[in-house]
Amino acid sequence: MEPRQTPPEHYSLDIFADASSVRDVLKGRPISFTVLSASSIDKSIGVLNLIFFHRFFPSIRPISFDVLDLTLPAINDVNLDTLIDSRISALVRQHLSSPISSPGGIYDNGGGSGVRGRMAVEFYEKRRRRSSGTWFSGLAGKGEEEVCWEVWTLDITIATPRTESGMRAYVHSDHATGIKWMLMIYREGKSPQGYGEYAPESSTQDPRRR
Amino acid sequence: MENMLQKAALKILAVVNRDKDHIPPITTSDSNPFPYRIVLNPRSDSWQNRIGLH
Repeated sequence: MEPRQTPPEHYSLDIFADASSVRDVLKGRPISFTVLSASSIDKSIGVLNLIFFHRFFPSIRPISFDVLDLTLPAINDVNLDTLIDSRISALVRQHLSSPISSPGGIYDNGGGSGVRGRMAVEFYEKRRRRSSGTWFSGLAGKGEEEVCWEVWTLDITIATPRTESGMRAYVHSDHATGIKWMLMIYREGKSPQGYGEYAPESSTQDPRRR
Repeated sequence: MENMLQKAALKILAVVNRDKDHIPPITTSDSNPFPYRIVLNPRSDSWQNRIGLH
């Protein structure tokens, strides 16, 4: 079989999240509500999990969620989880250390309302290296090379309110509360109204304290 | 943000179900036939990409 001659397929996604929920959006996060634990599994859905479900071929135990008339899948793999965690942590550290006040910085989106980062998910195939007849070709390892066949580029904007009015808008926009409830819907495939006393009383309530 | 996530999820689902022909055949018995990488701030012309190293 001839080695791949065409460039890898490339797809891009625009992701927007605030700092408190970027991990949820990218990976998903277990929900600590005991009321849900009896019937739920310990993982929620993120963008990366959704990509990997369709491009990850080891034997896995698939899980799925019905949400908004969609059935969304996920996988449970420790190594992949660890890799995703490390990359998201690096992204968050980058966000925290970025000089967002410096205009024109490589991570400044220009508008001053967020910090941008880029993450790429790349899939490779292993190919037996052809005997090229070139010098030192015997030093290249086992004779295998990895050829990329698909790339997902995630342009991630992490929102950072910089003014008092922006912070007020951020709080009242219910960002974090919204994503929390959406993840719960992902998990259970139910309406949040069904959770009764666990529904948030106020949009300004800090969801991290619930 | 919910709309963004839903839009991203729908795009992923559309792409992965539509574009399958470029997925290489599995020719190895390795548990994971297709290595993957997650790269932060990738550069398309980086030396890692060119020689295929982490």
